[in-house]
Amino acid sequence: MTDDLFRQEVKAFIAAELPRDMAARTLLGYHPHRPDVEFWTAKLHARGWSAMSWPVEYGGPGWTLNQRHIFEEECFIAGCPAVNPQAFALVGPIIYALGTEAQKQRFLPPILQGTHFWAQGFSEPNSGSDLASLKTRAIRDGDEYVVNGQKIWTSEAHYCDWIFLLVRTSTEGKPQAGISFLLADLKSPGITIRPIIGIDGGHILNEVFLEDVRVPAENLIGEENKGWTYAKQLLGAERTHSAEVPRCKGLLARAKAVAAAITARGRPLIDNPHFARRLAQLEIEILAHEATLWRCVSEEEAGVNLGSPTPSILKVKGTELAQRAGAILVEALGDDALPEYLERDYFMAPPAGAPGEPLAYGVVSDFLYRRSMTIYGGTNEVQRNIIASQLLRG
Amino acid sequence: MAIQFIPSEVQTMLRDGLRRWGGERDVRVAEDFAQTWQFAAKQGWLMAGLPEELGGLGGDVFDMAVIAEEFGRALVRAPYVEVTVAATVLASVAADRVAAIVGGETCPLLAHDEPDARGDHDWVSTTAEADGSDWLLTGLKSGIVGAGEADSFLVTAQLGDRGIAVFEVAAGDGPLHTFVTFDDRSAGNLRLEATRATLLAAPDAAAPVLSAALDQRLVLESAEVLGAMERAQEITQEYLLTRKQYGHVIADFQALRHRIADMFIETEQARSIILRGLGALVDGDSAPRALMAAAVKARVTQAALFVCGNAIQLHGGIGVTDEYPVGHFYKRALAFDQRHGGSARQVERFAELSAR
Repeated sequence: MTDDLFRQEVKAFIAAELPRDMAARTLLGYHPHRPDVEFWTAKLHARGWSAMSWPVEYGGPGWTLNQRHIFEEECFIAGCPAVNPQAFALVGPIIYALGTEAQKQRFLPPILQGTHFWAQGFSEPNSGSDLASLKTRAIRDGDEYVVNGQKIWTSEAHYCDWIFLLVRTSTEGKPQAGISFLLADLKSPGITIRPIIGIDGGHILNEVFLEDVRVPAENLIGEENKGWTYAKQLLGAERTHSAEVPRCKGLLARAKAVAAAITARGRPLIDNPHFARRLAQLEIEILAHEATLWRCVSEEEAGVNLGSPTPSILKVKGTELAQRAGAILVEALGDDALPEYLERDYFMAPPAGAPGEPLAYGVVSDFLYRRSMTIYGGTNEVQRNIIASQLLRG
Repeated sequence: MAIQFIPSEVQTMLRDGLRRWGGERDVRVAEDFAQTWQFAAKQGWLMAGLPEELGGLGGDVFDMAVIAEEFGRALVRAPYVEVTVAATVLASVAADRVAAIVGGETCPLLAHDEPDARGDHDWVSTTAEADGSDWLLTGLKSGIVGAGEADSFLVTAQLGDRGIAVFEVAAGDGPLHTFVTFDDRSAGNLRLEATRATLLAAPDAAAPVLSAALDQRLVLESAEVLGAMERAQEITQEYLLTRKQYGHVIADFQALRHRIADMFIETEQARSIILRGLGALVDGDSAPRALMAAAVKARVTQAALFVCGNAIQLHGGIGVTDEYPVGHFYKRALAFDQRHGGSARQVERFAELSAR
């Protein structure tokens, strides 16, 4: 099938299945709502499309990398709720690549169906960029591990079912050598989840406290003390995801729509040549970034490694462009950007006749939340170090 | 140009007192307005920079900038700059009203901006129609910070084809839509639909005073944001010296050292251009003053977004949380950029004004 035909098929599916109110809600840019995500994941699953990047034998659709890219872009632009990223992009691939047959049978189907949501338990208060220094301990006791410690910045934990954890099982050798990868039920006794309110006023981040949490030893992924190797594979995957091309394009499109709808000094803002020029500059940079993603995708598909530190380039550029696109969208709103439109206010009682209604909903809160993009998944400073160390190997 | 580079003894004492007071404030939450305002009045902070014959302490905008900067460091939500701007207008057109302002008894605010204006000082589409000895105003005034605390609004409107005049609308009379800004300040839009008003200044009298007040607003709000930048910078420096990763305090990493140096350079550029702007306000010559005010807003916003944005970045995860202060400084910088024409728009204005 040609890519154009594929795109048509995706568009037609979305048009037929995605409820309008859900699309409108998602496009506002607030944090995901589990009921929406569950609904949409089930729809995708019924079509065999929920796990776009998984191999066919584990329930993937068997798409080319380019088809996945098209699918992701169409979904983002149409306002489809994103499937639980920790499950589909992170732990799922680890389970099918490294899990036992029993683990695959048990954990993969509920991910595909959208009934199990997963959280990622990696960062700790004193282990951010320096993740290998993590201190959460897991001590083997018969058929179980007893886990004690604290995780932080755990996105979505408050509505997730399971968490995958990096835990210390040994203090010998290098810090990287004593880490294991464990799967824990978030309903286990001893787990406490505390919300962290963001600068956007929203709740997506959490602290997760683990006190004498008993995790069955059968929930260990791979071998004990090899967890660091597995986590590194997975962080590579996270960075490819953080190319954020659909987000960059989506924000740019929204900025253009706002600039066409809003007037400045009696004329549509989009007609202001200074503003239009800056939008164009950003669009050009996004085109180059998108082409970099395509190159990366083609190399991966051809099995060629041309040796550039592509995942880090994609992460740095994608997150910084998305922040700039967000900034120009905020700017386009002018005075209308000033009111604080909290997610809960919007969903509980949409303000009538408020300034900026409805163009401004969600814009500033999303922009503020996205300050975190250049921090999470390995800060952009760490990414630049990775690029430099690959370039400057002696 | 009358730039005062070295603070006077009086200004230093003023700053010390304000800093002690502001240092005790939790920047994450709004203060009690009435209590703060009465305290500020008692301390004489509302009198600074106003002529003695009107109940002020003498002095000039350099004194006001000291107060604005310290209020910015402490992220005081009260509309200090906004009220001084209203006082500047009233000092020229209804001087007997100023004493009540500096005493903290009344809190008038200028309602000039409209969503379409984008920083154009003479863009006013609100209209005034005579009705006996009163006037009826129709139009939309936006982004009035402090609106919830105001007892009256000084509203600009087109008086037929004669130009822009200043009217007064009592707070209870205008259909005010109040809201909280994303940087946690009380604000409002005034929707005027044949709303009754009294005339304060006819176009001829209004033009020079408005132009001075609006330039003053840009420079003093910039001084407020300078305070926010300074504090974000200091908190970040402290954090770099305490946070450890990879067995080192993160202040040991060169990339972060360069960044904090760049932040400091930006803060100092902002401080310098604000002094130039204050000098232009004191000189009072309207064309260079307008040009410099646009330059101040453009440059300070650019610096503030860099400094406060990087304050978040250098903190990592903790920086994007509501319970940590740096995000609140960033929000102030972003809201400042959004009001009366952002930095990009001020660069355009600078070019337009230069060409005149």
